[in-house]
Amino acid sequence: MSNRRVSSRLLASLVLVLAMVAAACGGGGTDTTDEGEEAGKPVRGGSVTYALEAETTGGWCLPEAQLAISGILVARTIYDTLTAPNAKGEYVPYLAKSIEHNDKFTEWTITIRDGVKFHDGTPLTAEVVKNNLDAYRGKYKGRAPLLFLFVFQDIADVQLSGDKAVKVTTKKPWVGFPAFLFASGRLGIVAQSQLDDQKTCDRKLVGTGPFKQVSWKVNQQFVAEKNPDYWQKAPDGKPYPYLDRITFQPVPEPEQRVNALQSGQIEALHASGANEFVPLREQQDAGTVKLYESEKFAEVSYVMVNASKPPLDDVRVRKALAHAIDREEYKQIINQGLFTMASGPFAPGSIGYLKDTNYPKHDPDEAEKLVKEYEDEKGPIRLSYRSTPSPATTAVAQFLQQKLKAVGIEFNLATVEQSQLINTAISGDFQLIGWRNHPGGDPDEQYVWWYKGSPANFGRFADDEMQRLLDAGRSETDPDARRKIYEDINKRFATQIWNLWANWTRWVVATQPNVYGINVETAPKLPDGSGPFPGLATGHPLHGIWVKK
Amino acid sequence: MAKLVAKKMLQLVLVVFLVTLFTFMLVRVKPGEPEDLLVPLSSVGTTQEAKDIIEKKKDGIRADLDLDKPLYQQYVLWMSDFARGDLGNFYAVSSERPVSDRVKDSLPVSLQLMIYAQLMALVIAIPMGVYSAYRANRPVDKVANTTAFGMLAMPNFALGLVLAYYVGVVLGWVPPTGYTSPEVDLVRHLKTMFLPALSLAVGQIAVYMRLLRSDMIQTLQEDFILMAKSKGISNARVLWRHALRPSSLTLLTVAGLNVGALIGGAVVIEVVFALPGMGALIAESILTNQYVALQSCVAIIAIGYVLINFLLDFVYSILDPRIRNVRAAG
Amino acid sequence: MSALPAETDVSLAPAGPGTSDQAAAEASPRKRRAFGIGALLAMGWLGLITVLAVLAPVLPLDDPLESVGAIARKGPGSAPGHILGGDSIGRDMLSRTIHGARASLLVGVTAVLIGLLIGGAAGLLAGYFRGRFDTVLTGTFDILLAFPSLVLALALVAFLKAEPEAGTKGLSTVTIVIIALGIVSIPILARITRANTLTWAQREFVLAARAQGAKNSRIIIREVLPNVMPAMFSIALLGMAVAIIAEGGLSLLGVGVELPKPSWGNMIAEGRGSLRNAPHIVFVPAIAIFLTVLALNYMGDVIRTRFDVRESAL
Repeated sequence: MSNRRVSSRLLASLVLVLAMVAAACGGGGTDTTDEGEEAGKPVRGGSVTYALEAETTGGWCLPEAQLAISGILVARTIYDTLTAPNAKGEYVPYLAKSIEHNDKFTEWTITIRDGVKFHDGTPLTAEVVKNNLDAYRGKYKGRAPLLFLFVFQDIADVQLSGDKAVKVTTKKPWVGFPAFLFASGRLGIVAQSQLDDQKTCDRKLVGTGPFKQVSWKVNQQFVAEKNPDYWQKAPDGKPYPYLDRITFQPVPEPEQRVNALQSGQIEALHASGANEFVPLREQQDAGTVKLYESEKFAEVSYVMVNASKPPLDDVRVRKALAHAIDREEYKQIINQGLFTMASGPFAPGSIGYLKDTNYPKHDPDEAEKLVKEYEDEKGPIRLSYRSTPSPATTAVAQFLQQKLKAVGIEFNLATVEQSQLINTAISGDFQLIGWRNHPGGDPDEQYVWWYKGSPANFGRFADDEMQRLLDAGRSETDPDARRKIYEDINKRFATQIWNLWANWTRWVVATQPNVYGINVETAPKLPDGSGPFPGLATGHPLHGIWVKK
Repeated sequence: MAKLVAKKMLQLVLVVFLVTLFTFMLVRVKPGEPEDLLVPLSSVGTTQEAKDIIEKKKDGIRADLDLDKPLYQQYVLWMSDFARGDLGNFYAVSSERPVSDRVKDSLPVSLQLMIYAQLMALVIAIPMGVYSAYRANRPVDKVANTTAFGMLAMPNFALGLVLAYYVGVVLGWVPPTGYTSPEVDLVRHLKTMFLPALSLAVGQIAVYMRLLRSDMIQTLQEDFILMAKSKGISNARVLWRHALRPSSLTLLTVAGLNVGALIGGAVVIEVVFALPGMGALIAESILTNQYVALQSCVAIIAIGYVLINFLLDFVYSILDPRIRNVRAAG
Repeated sequence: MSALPAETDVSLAPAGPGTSDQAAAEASPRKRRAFGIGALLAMGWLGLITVLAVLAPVLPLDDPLESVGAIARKGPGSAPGHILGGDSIGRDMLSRTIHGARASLLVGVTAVLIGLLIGGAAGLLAGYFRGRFDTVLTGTFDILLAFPSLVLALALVAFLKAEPEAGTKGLSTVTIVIIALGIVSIPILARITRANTLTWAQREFVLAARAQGAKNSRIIIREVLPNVMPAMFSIALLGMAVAIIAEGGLSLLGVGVELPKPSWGNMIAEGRGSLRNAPHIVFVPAIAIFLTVLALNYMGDVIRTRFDVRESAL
């Protein structure tokens, strides 16, 4: 149960990358205020200041970057990805003109869109795309990606196919591959000059996106101005974006973001904590702000368990933890009754989602029994839990501590800065950590997080059955069989308790009432004409934002 | 004068040396190799490819910081880099960013914050102090004293939180958070700096007012004041023209020395108000083990502190010639 | 020979406002007035909070760590049986404030004791013997003062903190916070003590004792120390106030007293996200800090006035 803010930061940083997978997911309704008809015709010009929950101090040398949601939002203003998810969560061509595969899903041909230019004036070519893909998978000289290295380890080769296309060959059938070309918005196509920049790749951003970088002062602001030659055309026939300028300001204290919006200092913010939802909804009712909320294709907040060390290598102890926590009470106290408690890693709408996975119910007696059984056998259980020091995360930590104490489990707390927390997760030197991850989309993207021996499997559970299911899921072409596989994974989590699920993470983007173009009713359609993606866990596109004068 | 300058230079060198040496040693107390602390990545349990990348990165850091050399050499090398304006790097998995970049952006913010806070404190404290001294022990003085006491007891971070919400949001008078640089929009800049500067100033107001009041009471009993009064010069003129200047020496000294305390206070205030200044930078460096950055930032502050006091010494002698003579004699 | 322009103290310079009417006090022979109403109130508050803090474990209070959903974020008066309401996860605010006093006072008192023992002794010796020892010591303290104290404390805590894994040996965070704030208070206390020692060491009775061949140690302990004590004590009170506030600042940065143990500082830090919906979570501990610091400053000032401590030395 990491909390929203933490997690978000965490998650973010979290290293990775993962992409979502393709396919599936039914789209679904979104929770939103309805506008649309009252919006009227988009107006060009103006600027927006958008408060982010964190700074991306590591910068945007995309193949190597560690982007959380805030970093992804910035990346999506400067760069375009080859694919993007649509209203149904399908990954459709975006910067790519088309993406085709052979019958076995082992050869993917990515055709490049014509006439697209990078911000430095160089054209988008098949060769740049190939170099990008090579950089992401660790085969490009001078770039040292860590996490994408694992994400793309099933790519055998990337070849030019004529001067307009790139052919990717995979080591095994890879049904969800297009989702990995989006990679939660992290797989932007970077200009050759930035790719070869050894010194300032992290801070001199050159992409094809709707905005061009003007300046970046760390912790202060990231300013971007309109790219007048952007390739996506608005309905009025002229290129997107509508805005002249967008400024991102990191404001890590969530209530300060709400303060800034309320006082008219900024035009937009994003947030995911109950403490922010309550006042924002009140202001929405008063008509002073506009909200776009979404739980679609959400991530899940949870307590990550390190299953490789005693006592947590024993499933009885993990089960005791799950039984000890009253999830209904968690929802009321921690989330002020607002968010849906998660049944597993897959949010509603995602493949593999199950309403009931048989995750252990709150049962303190059973928990105590399991604890006693273990302690009689192997000695006392003493645990430690780490989280970031924000009020929301420490509240979770202390709540859990009380609940576990009640069933006889001692529990130390420690707060550490986000980067240290991630370090801890990667190094495996922990027992329990507040975390958030697994944004919805295609379940195959979870492969690196859960695969036995994967360096991104921070919980370090090594399960042959999980390994078998993940491999099968990656290559299974029949949608029903595929769904069944991921449902089995979901159930496996509920019996093995490698993670203690809290809630699906709900995000809100709050704006001044005269800002349009973010929610699904007013956001731009994708190049193929399909509707905009309703999820917010990986940010949202910004080229369609406009401000009514 | 040459002697004084030489003495001050010596002090400058000593302060910077000891302060940075201390910072340098501090990180060695922490378990773990410096390169592991700087870049939080472990190559344990990863694949060979990843291991190579991580190790290469760490080799780069080791070479960069001369970690294979003896400690004293590492320190000397850092020092000589610093003297040449190379403040080292912020290390992250995906970037190495020169500390000087960050300092360049952060230092102005903190300087502005500090100057505004000091000005605000002095502008409020001086009239209060002068008037209290003039009305010593009368009700006005008592009220001023009590107010000062109250201000002194307010924890500045809690004050900042409360001001941000109640003044910034509920009343909506000035922006509650964030930073705007003066080149972009001067008015907005001043407005955004108002609450942080005030939070920082409140404690100082009490200090300055008290100091000025007590020095002023003494000055007011001196012969030259009595003489001025007997000549029929107005009270206001006596207070502001004749008594204030000689009474403000201690005040100025303390205001100068307070820079250190203000930087400490600024760490928290900058975090509360999302101001991207040196305080926030130092907090970030400490909490993420960026000890090279920490060393450089601390050295810059120490230099600033000594220079300010250096400057004050001269202001001092201008303000009161008697002191100049005494000092010269001593 | 001090490297700084004047014998002025940095962060404690405030002295405190107060009664002090130096002019009056200097004009007439020293008056030992009865404590005023302000001093009585201050002592009353400090006494009350100390007693409550000491007795907290045996007082009929709720468990400061137990969260009760029903009172989460409820303000004073809106949760029957919980006068000060509940915090963000439904823990009784009254109980937390009183238990928080334990941590905050413990930090304040012990940190200053460290400063007093080390800094006081150094200042006493420097002021009494003067000469080279004094020069070196004063120079060192001037340098220490160039290091912003909160930054120093933050660095110490961050670097000395033990790893949280069960079974890890190491100092607890409270201990480290105390040590850090103690170290920070050393130069300040040393300077004040030295300045006051300087004046007392020149007084007739000290010179007389020396002329009679009394040993230095005896003179320091029997003649000088008792006279310097009021100054040390009054500054110690201010130092306590500063330490209590500093602990709050450290908590806000996430390196204060370890959770879930309440301290006033970490209560404020935990409530900062709820200022809008549940302002009492911040206000209750903030007021506790305010009153305590106010009382400490006021008492420091009262003592200074009563014993005619050289204020210009501050």
